[in-house]
Amino acid sequence: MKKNQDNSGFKVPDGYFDTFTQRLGQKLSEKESDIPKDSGFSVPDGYFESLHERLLQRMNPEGGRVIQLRPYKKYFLAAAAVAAIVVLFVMLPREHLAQPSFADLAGTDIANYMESSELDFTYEEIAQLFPVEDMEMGDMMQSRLNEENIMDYLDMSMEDYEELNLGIDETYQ
Amino acid sequence: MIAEETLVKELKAKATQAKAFELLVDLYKQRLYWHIRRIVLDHDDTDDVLQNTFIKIYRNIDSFKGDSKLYSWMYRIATNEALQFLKSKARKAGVTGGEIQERMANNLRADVYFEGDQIQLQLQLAIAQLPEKQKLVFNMKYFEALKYEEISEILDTSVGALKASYHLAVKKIESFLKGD
Repeated sequence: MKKNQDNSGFKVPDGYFDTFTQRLGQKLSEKESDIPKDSGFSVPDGYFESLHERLLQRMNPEGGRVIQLRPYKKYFLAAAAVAAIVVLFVMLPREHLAQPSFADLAGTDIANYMESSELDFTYEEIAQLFPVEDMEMGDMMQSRLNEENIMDYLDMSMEDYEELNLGIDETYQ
Repeated sequence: MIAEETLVKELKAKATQAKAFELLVDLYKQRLYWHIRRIVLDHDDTDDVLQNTFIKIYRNIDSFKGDSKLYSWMYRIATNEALQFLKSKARKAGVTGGEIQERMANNLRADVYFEGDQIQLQLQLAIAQLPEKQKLVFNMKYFEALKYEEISEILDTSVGALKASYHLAVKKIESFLKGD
């Protein structure tokens, strides 16, 4: 028998062509997924063409200034905000607990405000807020709570005084 | 087409940085845009997040060590920026992440830059209800046609887990669209 020279040396599995039509029919009759392929989103005209220009404006707002590759300012601001909270918490009088005060703000709220507002502190200005020579370690560590402060705190935060377990512990009777 | 290694080298060198950055933006802006858009849905929000992403890429290019593909690293930054944006939006609105995404999907009805029909709107509502990972995997596999290996590099999740997530996501979406 003359060898078929058209297959260029390739082979097919036995029965491949015999079942091909049936397999193709099965595939065609399979239900397509209900999920649409197009998401329906569109974009304003010229958006992509102008993106690079707008990026440059944002990164270089004053024009000609060197673009900061490693701006540490926001980290410095966050650290300054936390330090401010610690100092104010220690040094502010506690008699005005009922009224909201600066110390009631979470450090993150202050950091977010400083980051989102146009305060634009320079490093020198931030450093001036916390002159190191005026601070001692004891300012951070020393507790300023007196008995009145403790009772005020318990009054505000306790719902059930039995939690204090002030009564005699039966175990030790 | 510039080789990735060359592009990274030029991005890190002061003399060639600006030109390389322009090329980088040109090469990846559309892919990153659509990736972010499918997460945050709104065009203006996407524009914000996309710009933040490119700025972050530019400022942190020195930390890219080449142990993954450049686009995987950029996709990861884009994904994190988009997810952070959603968290921030939810926090400001005083709602959960899931609730904010449902609201945002519902807002598409009146969105000038959403031209989808009812079924496409339903699709976005269905996606909004998926857990975060399933949502990301579904978008990347179904719409962006990324391979599992590529998604694995971006999300730092095994291929097996991704396949499971995708399968679950498709089932939930189909069920939602059928009204089950």
